[in-house]
Amino acid sequence: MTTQAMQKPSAERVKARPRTDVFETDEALILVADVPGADLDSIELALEDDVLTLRARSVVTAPEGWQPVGSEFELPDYERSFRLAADIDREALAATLQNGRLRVVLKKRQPQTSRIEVRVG
Amino acid sequence: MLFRQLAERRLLSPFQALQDIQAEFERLLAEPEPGAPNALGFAMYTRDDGALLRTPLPGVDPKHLALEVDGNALTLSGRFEDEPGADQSPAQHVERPRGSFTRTLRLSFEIDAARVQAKLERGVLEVTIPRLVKNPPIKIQVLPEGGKN
Repeated sequence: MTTQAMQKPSAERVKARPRTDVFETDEALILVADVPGADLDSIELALEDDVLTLRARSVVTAPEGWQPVGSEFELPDYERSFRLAADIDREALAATLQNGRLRVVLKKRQPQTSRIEVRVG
Repeated sequence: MLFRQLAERRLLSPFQALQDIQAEFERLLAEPEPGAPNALGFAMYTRDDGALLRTPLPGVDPKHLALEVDGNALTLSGRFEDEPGADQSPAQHVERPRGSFTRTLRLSFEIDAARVQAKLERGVLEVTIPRLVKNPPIKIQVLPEGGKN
């Protein structure tokens, strides 16, 4: 194990791509990303054209009064972009964070059908 | 992005799409996401009265976690659950861990099992592990001559 502080100044911190699962239903794309250590305020989601960018930051600090003796991981800053194949309803984005797991629901834009009345001329 | 690439290539060659899927599986198995914290990696801290353990367990429900103490060994076990509804719509791209896990940590001291505390916040488990003090130091009063205080 290497000895590392739990949280370093942001300039020195590791930037990592969060592990992410992708689900797709007829109605939505669902991204589920592991962002342990992040809190809701640190999460940033931006959708530009067809690229969704996720950013999050771990807010867990080293415990006070304890001496670090070794660590097999470091809580990083998270960043990852996803190019979306589906046509997304930009007004219906929803995200929840629970136990370090971020769940983003991107509803697909449903094809609009319009009824055209045919008159007999 | 992967799906779009696959969809585009599938139009050209169905075999290419299969090769791409196999290559992607091999990549996922061979290379962990760079920098992403390993679930169940341990960070250890100490002080005179014990140790503190932290481990990232994102998405794990505390109900699915168990801690057992045996002498100087602490065993953590639990389960990474799949997403609700995943049986109807299975994941199309998987990177997050699944299934059961167990890991045992052996310490240099005997653990006071009755005082171990654990909390799971923001997907990080923190366990405070107090050192067992079998014969705590006691103060012995020295009596003056005559044996009375």
